[in-house]
Amino acid sequence: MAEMPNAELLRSVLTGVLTVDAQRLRTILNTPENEDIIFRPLETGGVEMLVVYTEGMARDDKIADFIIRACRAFDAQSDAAPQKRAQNLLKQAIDIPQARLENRLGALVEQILGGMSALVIDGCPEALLLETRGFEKRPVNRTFSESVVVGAQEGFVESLRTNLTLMRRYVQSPALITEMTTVGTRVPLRVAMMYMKGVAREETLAQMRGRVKSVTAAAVQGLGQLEQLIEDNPWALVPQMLLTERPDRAASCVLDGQIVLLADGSPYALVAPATLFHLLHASDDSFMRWQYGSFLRFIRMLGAVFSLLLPGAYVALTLYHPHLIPMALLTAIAETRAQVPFSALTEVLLMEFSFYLINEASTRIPSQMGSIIGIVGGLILGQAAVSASIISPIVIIVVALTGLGNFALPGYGFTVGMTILRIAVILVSAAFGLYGLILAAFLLLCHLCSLRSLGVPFMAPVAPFRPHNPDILLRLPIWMQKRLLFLSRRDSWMRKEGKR
Amino acid sequence: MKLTLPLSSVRALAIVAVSSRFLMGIFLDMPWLYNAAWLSALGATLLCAPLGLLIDRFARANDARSALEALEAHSGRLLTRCVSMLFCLICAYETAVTARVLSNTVRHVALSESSALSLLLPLLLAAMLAACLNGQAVGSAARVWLKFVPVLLLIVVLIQAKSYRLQWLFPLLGPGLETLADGAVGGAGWLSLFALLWLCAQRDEGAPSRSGALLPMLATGAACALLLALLATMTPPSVRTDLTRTYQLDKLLSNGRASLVSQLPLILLWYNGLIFGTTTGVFLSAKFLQTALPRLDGRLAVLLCGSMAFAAAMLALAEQSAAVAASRWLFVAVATPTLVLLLPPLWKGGKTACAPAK
Repeated sequence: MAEMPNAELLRSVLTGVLTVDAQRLRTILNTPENEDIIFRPLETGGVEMLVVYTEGMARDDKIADFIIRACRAFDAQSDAAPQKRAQNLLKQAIDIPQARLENRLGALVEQILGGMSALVIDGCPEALLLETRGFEKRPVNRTFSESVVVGAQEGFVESLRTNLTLMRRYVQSPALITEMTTVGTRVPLRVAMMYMKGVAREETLAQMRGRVKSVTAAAVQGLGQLEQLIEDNPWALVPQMLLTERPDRAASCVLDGQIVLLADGSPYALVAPATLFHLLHASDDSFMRWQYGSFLRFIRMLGAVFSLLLPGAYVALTLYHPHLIPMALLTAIAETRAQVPFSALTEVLLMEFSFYLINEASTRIPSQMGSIIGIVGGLILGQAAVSASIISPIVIIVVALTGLGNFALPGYGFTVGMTILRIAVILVSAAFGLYGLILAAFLLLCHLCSLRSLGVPFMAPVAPFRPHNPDILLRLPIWMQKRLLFLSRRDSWMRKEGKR
Repeated sequence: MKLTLPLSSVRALAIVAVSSRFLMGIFLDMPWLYNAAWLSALGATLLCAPLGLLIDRFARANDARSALEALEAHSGRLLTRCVSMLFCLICAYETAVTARVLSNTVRHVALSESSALSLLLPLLLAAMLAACLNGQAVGSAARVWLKFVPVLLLIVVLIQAKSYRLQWLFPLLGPGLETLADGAVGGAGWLSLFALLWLCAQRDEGAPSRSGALLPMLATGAACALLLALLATMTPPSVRTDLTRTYQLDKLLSNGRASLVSQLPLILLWYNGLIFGTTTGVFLSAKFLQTALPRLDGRLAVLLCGSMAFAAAMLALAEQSAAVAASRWLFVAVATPTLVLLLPPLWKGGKTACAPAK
């Protein structure tokens, strides 16, 4: 693989000669072409200094008040040797709380591009890296795709720092560990790995660290790409990790012994290991009284079954097993289909395709034009298609129920996977009837049972069985939920009172 | 790829796969047992009990990860491999019979104009694909499916609740003791497939401390006997009807009185049971083939055994008469080598000594 430009320089360290170091930084940072990289020279007590920062990423007022002004007030030549100037400045003059010494050019450049400021001092082979980040960012806002009725309403944002703060606010424990790392061999992306010490399993942590470290992609754009690079089975249609934009949910996962990854620029968290049941549960299940939570969860599970099997079952029953449909319903279906020129399969596929089209269009369409989707979807594709005898009303009911079932699932990625699987189920059902439908469901079940998430069986704790709380399909009262999730360490200090 | 079947998954898989084969054999293939088939099922269960006990004792006396590994250590490689090859052929044949019955069912229920080839091929391809996902996946899937079975069974029983007549169980001995005993021997052959699953199973981390074969085997046999008795209370024994699988299948699905609509849960149970049976058969025969030829890749073993089963299913070998004739020897073919292999190490004392050391 070709080396990136100035790779040799990036591996080098500061020389202590300001003109040389400044020139090297300019070369690496491509100035003067790069006009937003600022090199601000200053002199105090006869010592030359240089402040380097990225315009927009660093706050000018902070640089002026706490770096330039502080340096001017400091007598750099007063006593110490030139090599100690940076250290003395840090100890005696700089009022910025987060500051450190750094001599590697690569690290300096990385932090300058991230919004920190570097103070390079003549005669000193170490520069000061000072926290001056102050770029524009979206404030913490409501979630977009994981709305809840009961529970916290705030969601992650694109700033890693803000997301870390949100997590810290929800889990105020010194055992919450944040390990910082970067992924991307050419353009690094800052990633934080959060877990509870003594709760998350060591082998799971080691596996996660190993996978993140083994990413060889030149650049990774967010957690969505990172997930694809570290998941267990990239060919599977269902995601094996959980993407959530809710800090309360991520916090609950961390407390259960799971690992949470946050990255700069990603307004969500990646949780692993995750099981199928994590993908089916919503965060407000646990905030509501158990009866309500259980009922809503049951509805959601039914929605998942509808989403996957209903159109396939309709095609199988109408094409091959009409005797299994009650006579009154069969007559009604036959009457409505009498004028339709297409087979049940064509009808369902046509309607499904229209539904995906509306779905995709409504995602991309500017919000001001949103009402058009309602008119096009509701009137043209619904009413007009039935009037023109292109589609029978029963198919519209089937597809509408399927769509509703699909949208009842909490994870967007999961719903897309279900959609693809549904098409496969429809086709197999059209070829072999119920036999095909059951064969497809069997294969899917076996496939799900073969999946793993960070080494943990995807269908656990049901299959294979692991001791668990009564919180899988239904959610029983909270006082019965005494166990820690099976993903956590057996000897965890989080084990509840009254248990071994 | 090494084919493995964790001990934590074997119980669910055995219950799902063997019960469907057991019911299929006794109810569909032996209609001459009439309404006393449940007695044959009970007899088969009793016949198989010593086999389950033997496997449990052997497993408890050995530290090896699987019974097959322990056998290799005790009885030598050659003997174990020869027996594995025999078991491989038995399992492949049983797979063919199960697949054939499923294809017959599908043709009878809906796809009457489809060829056996077009029905068997997708089934065996699906079974091979699932088997390639390894024992953990198939066993876990069986565990999930087992959670739906009681619900569906309850629906079936409730739907037909008005049809039960206890008097149709009489005369109790129906076709006579000799026929019932013959049925029990055949049934024991199918139930003994439990033993083969436990022979292949390997200890794993998640396995419960007591994953014995005997108890699930007895429970499955008893539950199937109960189900057969329930089926028997729904139609009077008729000695003048035809004795083909098709007639029996019709009887099973509708019992002559249940509405057609109510067939759906029964069809789900039946299809899924047989699909699991076919997959388990393919997996088991491939596992035994891999034990006999350890260098053989698991996927290739699955392909070979699946193809073998497919070829057998396409021939008359898997039809009712041949399957019943084979069933008379199946129990002997499974139990004798198992006894020959397992008993001597137990007599020698295995790990637990016969007498305390002085």
